[in-house]
Amino acid sequence: MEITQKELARRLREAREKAGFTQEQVAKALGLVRPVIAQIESGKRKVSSLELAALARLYGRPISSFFEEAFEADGISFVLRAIPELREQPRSQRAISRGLEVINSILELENKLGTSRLKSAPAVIYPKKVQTKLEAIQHGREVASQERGRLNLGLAPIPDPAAILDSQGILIFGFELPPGISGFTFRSDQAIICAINADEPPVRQRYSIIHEYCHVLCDLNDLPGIVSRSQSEKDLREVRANVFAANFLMPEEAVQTFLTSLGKSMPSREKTHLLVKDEIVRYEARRTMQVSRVNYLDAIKMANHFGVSVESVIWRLSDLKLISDNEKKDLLNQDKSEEGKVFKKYLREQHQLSKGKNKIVYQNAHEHLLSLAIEAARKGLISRNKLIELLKLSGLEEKDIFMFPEARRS
Amino acid sequence: MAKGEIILIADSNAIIDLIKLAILNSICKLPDYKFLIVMEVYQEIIRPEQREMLNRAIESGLVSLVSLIEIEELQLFSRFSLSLGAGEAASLAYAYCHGTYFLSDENNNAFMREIRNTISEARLKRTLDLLAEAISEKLFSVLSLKKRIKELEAKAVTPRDWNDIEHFRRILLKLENRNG
Repeated sequence: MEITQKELARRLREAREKAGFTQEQVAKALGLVRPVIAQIESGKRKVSSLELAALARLYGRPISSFFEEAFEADGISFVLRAIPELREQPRSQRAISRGLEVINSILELENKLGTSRLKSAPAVIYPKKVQTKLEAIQHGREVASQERGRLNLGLAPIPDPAAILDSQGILIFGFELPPGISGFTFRSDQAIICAINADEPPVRQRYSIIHEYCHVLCDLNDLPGIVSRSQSEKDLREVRANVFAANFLMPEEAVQTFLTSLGKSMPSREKTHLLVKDEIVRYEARRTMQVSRVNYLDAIKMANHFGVSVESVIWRLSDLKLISDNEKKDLLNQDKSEEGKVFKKYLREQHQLSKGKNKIVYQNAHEHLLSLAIEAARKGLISRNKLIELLKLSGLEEKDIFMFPEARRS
Repeated sequence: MAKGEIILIADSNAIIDLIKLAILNSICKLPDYKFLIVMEVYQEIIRPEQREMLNRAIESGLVSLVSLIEIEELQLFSRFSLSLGAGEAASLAYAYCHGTYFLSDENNNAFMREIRNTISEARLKRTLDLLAEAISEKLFSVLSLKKRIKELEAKAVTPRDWNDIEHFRRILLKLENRNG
């Protein structure tokens, strides 16, 4: 199909509408006035290459998409449509535009290098429409257990949840999302992408990564994508993803084993046996409550062990009936108290994940972009200047970029 | 285009090199040449002192700014952008559509492949060629270039600065060899 100025104008309008922007918002983002956008979209004014590049970036698509035989207006712009707040907040808008540019660049490079990301997407998915909360909980538990088994994770804590998604061909990146959104997951033609709110504490981000992984496994079969919002916690898909994350990060048996190692939370009557006159006598011994009760320090230790928040631990202990409702309330209150902060500061300083001041931003996608760009440059598929652009996009500073021989003039 | 006039569309590295060597104005005064840059290249000149020198060259009419707006230009720009940087992709699209020469010192495989597939190497100009012409026109001398490179060496800070100086030294060596 021959692309005319009129067809390009129509595609620009459609792309804007699919991304959920008004002409006013686009004009503001590009530093233009609304009538200019209207003229461009009606074909009365020619769009320049600079404007086209800026529009493509804003709509989260590559420039080349406007000239493809079959124009796919939807695709990655799902994100922009599904999170309308992004369009109102310049900081978030810039972050997501950049994030989508990273994704598009990765997909372009993978095309050039002849690798297909979707081929390595999770080999097994567990799509199921859950009708009740109980079903959601049960399915979340089952899938967590099956997936841990499939990935041969045993009962060990998961040091790097992002690495698990990475190994399953899922692109993951963190950036500043509006408050109340912990992450989102969506599928493009070529890849599955999970994004995590980098403004949240590291332990929360770890949890969110696994939460999003559940959406990949269970929900992407019948949805283009899903946004995880705190206000939709009662949504059954979100319930399932939360149960999945808790079970995946803290399997019941692993929790029991850990508590046993602390001498805590055994069943109040423990079965044991004695050898009396060549005869085994089984009996139940009662443990004292003081020994078995899980206290706040135990919860912190457990949180450190599994790499999750103390709050997640308290809820998990409650779900597993290892603490009573009253104990849960007490522990949650302690978690929010000044005393709790002191305890956390003391115990968590030793744990890499809990240095809250050192913001952790998951950059698996950026790291992937960097390695693909270098590989493409080494194979002569992209120019030196294109490499420099991609390295900048992956977050490298200029002084570091010129350390790569491929980025230097020869 | 006046008879015999060579229109050159320059990439950002070529412009930056001329600015760094403090010969942008002199080079732009070469007879029979007209210098253009695309908006993408203008945007890639981000260091304030370099931008200021470029602005002065534009204001005095030594360099002209052009934009890609025709559908064929945009299509080519989009295609070239998959393997080239924005500035070189836009410059090459312009050079192809308008039959101009392209001033660039790039020689990597991806760049040269696109050049061969579009405008051919015959329409690729190198800084070395322009410097040789300017020297023969007595717009500046090899000695003044040498002096300038020494000044740049004394001021070099970043790895990019040093990489540029290596590039200038190579050009200088070739110029000296040409001049015997």
